[in-house]
Order: sequence, then structure tokens, then C-alpha cells
Amino acid sequence: MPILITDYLSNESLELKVDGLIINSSLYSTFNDNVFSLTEIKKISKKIKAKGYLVIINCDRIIPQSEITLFYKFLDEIKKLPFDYLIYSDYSVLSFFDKSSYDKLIYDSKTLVCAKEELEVIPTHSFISSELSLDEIKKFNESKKQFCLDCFGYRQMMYSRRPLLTLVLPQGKAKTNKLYDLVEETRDENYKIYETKRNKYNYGTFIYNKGVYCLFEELKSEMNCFNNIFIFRLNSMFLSNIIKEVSLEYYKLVHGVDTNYQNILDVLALNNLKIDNSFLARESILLKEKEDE
Amino acid sequence: MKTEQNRRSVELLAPAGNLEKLKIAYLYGADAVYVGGKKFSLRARASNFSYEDIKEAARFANNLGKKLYITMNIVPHNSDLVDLISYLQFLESVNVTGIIISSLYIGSVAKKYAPKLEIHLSTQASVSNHQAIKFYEGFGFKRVVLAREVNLDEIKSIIDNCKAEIEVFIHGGMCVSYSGRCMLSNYMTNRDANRGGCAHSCRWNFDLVDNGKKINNRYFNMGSKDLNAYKQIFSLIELGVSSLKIEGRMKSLFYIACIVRTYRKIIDDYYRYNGDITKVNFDYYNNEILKAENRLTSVGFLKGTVTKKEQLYNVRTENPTKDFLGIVLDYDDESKIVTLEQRNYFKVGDKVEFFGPNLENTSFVIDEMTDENGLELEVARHPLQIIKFKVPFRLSKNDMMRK
Repeated sequence: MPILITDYLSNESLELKVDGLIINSSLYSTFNDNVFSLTEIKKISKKIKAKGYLVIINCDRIIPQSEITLFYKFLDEIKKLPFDYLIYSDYSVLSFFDKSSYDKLIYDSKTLVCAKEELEVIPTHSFISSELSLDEIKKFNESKKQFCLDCFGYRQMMYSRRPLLTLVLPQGKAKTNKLYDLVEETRDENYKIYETKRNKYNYGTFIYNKGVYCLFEELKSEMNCFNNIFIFRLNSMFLSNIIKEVSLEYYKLVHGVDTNYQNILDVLALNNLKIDNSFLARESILLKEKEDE
Repeated sequence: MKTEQNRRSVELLAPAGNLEKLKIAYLYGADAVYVGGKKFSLRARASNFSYEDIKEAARFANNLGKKLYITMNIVPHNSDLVDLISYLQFLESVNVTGIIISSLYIGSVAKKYAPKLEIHLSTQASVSNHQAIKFYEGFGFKRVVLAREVNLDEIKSIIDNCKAEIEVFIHGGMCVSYSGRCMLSNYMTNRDANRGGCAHSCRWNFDLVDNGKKINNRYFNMGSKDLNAYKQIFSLIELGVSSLKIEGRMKSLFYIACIVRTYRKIIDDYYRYNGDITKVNFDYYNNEILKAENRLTSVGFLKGTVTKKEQLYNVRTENPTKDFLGIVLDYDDESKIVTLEQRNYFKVGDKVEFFGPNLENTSFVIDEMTDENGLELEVARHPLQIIKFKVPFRLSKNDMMRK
């Protein structure tokens, strides 16, 4: 039976219908909603465990050399906690943990796992890339290894080390830790952009897709094509006010109970949120000429 | 130990988009060249090398005692992995030195089916610390190309704490995001940046909107200036970097000749002056780079966190200070006649500059010239036209002319 997980945002998350809760580290995750210090992670993980959820810690930042010693000290502390899984993007995590602990680790690069053969070579669990067509996702069903799949939420389109808004706009025009819309000159789509600053450090700039990714109907109608999934993840970043209703429908889906997709559509419409499932329909190309062929 | 080895042998690694550029890169001073095949490589718009081209490239490199690397650094989808084994075995059979990859799967297949090939980890993996490198060392990677977000202090710390060779970019285009972690092109144009189709969407014009209200006064773009680390070469060699890499498989022949030659001279100066930076005329080298550089440049992350100086904004592209006019095909010592292949318009009376791998910049005014049949010409106007004229100083094949 696959596991359904989503982000811990506050004590209200302890009422969600999911199997596990992700605690996003303020120092080492790229999550740009409620994040938590090590002290808070220690307290919250106990609360989550007490409620019967799986505890997942997220540290998916790319770790600079200048921070590696502190990051390892952080992992030393995390190791003592009752966590079930740790999400990572930097391979320094694999050098820290013994191979015997690799079954507790989940790789998440967002973009780098696009073939089932790649999944099979990664020595831990792994999410697959966010920008695959439905046919490509189904191919992972043929893998010898189970995989982790994002099925709801905003997708991270760009991860830059640079504090871009601060650099490209006149001083004071744009604030850090605030969500803006990025609009390209010739397009009427709004992409979300967020420049992250925590603990006085610039952690970079993140751009998210224009709508909420929602892989639901496809899962429902072809569930037998997705029986190789280990974890379904709902990304609740910027969606705290709808995650309760959404997670309930996904929980029913994952556990084989009758669902109501219209409930999800209604709650999205009520909050003026659009769906962006653009990659599901067609595979990306290299050059425009190839699209015309 | 690494620093001591470096004092004898840092590698200058140049890009090449076709065979002609490859040969020029080696002749103008590269110790190694990297190219892409028709498959598995980023830069879908580069000419890229056929099997025959790769064979010829490897033969040329091996004859010179130099190295050739093949980029296979795409993030593969299921359909991209056809013919992988046969391709790797072919590369090994023609004595390619190594491959540059970002996929662990491609690496595992290479280890099994083409074990003589060195495996280098691409900057697409965004490796930024020595503990991550330790994992890749255990996997079998001989060399790691660092993320461009690493500064000089971090490079030193990484080299002091790992065994793998470390390769660092020193010149050329830079992603504004961590390499491999940007899908802007994918979302905006459906062109896959991680398989060579990047549309450079970061350089387009954008507005920033806050709750429906535009807050910028004019359009901005997020593109990065190109990297230009000519002043950091001495430091990088001192730190123990194994390979200094120039980006630019889509760059012109002239660009490759100028940039490779300049960095060759800087590296040679390091060894000649035993690392004494005060002996070097960096203004001269900067001017040489500007003769071919068509973009604004900066030091990127090498000195630490980037500032406004590292961003592009809405400025126009800078043009090189010199135009490429022609390439020497032959020079006759007796008659002092050069045979030149035209690459841009020039005329009698023009003051031009010749340069080459073994020729210092030498100016000259063209007096008379003829075509290859001896017909007098005032103007060389046709691309690839063969032109002959008298030049009082010795030239060699593949020297170049500019103005």
C-alpha cells in the first residue's frame, strides 16, 4: 500500500488524513512556507509520532562547502530523532549515513530522475522528475524498484543560488520571503517567484509553475498503472487553506475508497487556483523544428 | 601533494562544436578538448560530432599527445538510452580519453561496458561540497566539475578534502540557476533544458507583480553575465585545480582561438614566473579576451556571493573589439606570399593584425592582393574566398587575421 505524505505546517496538520508528515528544515530545505528550526523539529517529530504519523524530515537544499560541517552536525542531531524518512537532494547525505540506513533516505532533485534506469541506480528511494508526461510516468511502473511521486501542489521550476529579485530590481522594490508573480513580456501566465532569506542568509530564488499540479483523475482511472509507487506526496506550500480537503480525497484514492474529484475542483475554484498539468499531455522536445515534425 | 602536481600540469580544457574548431583549440594551446556527439549531449543546436568526426578527433588528439572528452551530460528520459552501450564501446575503441556525464546510470553502464573511459561528473550535478564528491569517488568518478556557485575559499577546502580531480569553469556562459535545476525553458516553451534544448528564457523580459499590481518600472531579465576568470587563474592553479574549463561549444572559431590562446599564455606565465602574479600584464590579457568576447563578463561566484555586477539587466550585448577576417592556409618563405581564406570583408589599405599560437600580435597594412588565380583585387568580399598577398614576416598555417 503506497504512503501518502504532506507537509507539516502547524498543529492543524495533525488532523490531516495522510500517512506521514514532512517537517521542512528552516536551514536545509527549499520549502518556502512554514519551516522549522532544529529545536522545533525535535518537538514536532515527537508530536507527529505520538499521533501515529510517519515522520519525514526534509533537507533538500544543495549544501555549499562552507556549510557542510554545520550540516553534518545537524544530521548528527537528526539521527537521534525518531524519524522514518529523510528527503535529500545533496549527495553529501549519502556520505553521512551508513548504507544500512539508506532505506530511510529519499532522493529529491526535482529534475534529474527521468528514466527508470536512473531510478534503479540511485541507492535510496527517489522521487521522479516533475516534468514528465503521463506515458513517461507510467514507464516507471516497469522498474524493479518502487518510486516516489509528486501528485499535487506547486512545482519548483527553478532553483537559483542568487538573490535574483534583490539583484535585478532597484533597492527596496522587492522584498525577500514574499511571494510575487513573474510575468513574461509576451505571455499572460503568472509564475510564482520567491527569494528566500533565512537567518540573515540568502538561500536563493525559486520560481514555481503557474498553476497547481493535480494528478488525480489519471491516478483514479488507471490505478493499476501506478502500482509501483512507494510514496505519493502532496506539496502544501502556499496551499495551507485547502490541503485538508485535498488530502482527504487523495487519502481515499490511495486507500481504494470512493473519491470525489469534484471536491478538489471546487476547493481550487473557491480559492481562485488553476490547475497546471501541462507536462502530462506531451513530452518535452529539444528544438522547435522537432515539434513541427 | 595536489598543489605540487599542479605546479607542473594543470589542464586547459576547451570546447569545440565541430572538427575545425577542435583542431584550432588544440593548436592554439588547449591540453584537452570536449565535444558532443549527435546523441546524449547538451547543446542540441551545436553541430555536434558524427561517429566519423569523433574518430578523426580522437586520432588528431592522440597524435598530439592530448586528451579528448565526450560530453554525455543529458538527463536521460527512457527513450534517450537506445544505443548507449554500443556508443560507449565505440568511444572506447577509438581511444577517447573520457566522458562527461550527469547520469549515474550512464556512468554505471560505462563502467561495465567501456571501463577504459574515464568518467567525469558534469556541472549539471551541481556538486558544491567535498562530502558529495566522496560519494562520487566511491562510484568511480575520476573527476568532478564543480558547480559554478562555488567560491575560491570553498574550492580550496574541497580540494584539500577529496581525492578526485577537480575541474572548474573559468570562462563562458553561466546559468542563472544551479545547472540542471532550471525548467523555465521546459515550462515556457516545452523545450527541455536538461537535454540540450534550453531556450534561455531567463534572458527574456519580465514584470514583477504583487497582488495584481506591477512593481517594476521597466522590464527586467534575470540572465547572468558570462564568466571571465582570467585574473583568478594563478589562484586556481595554486589551489590545486586539475582542469580549467572554457565553456562554449557553440562559439565561433575565432572566439575559441582568441580565448584559448589567452588562457594558454596566462597559464604559461604562471609556470614561467613561478606564480609571481606581479610579473603579469593582466590588462594585455583582458584586451586579448575583448577582441573576441561578445558578452558582458564577471567573476561569477569565485569571489563570493554575487552582486549586481554579475547580472545582465537590460543592457545591449557588447561586440568584440576585433572582427575575424581570415585564416592562413599557407605561407611561402621565399616569395613571402600568404594564402588566406577569407572569413569577413577586408580591403587593400586595411591595417590588420595577425596572431597565432606561436605568433605574437603583429600589425600590417595590406598593400596589394590577388585572388587564387592571380587576379588583382581591391576587396575580399566573398566568404571562404582564397586571397594572396605579401607579408614581410613569417606566418604559419592556422594563424589568423583580424581588424
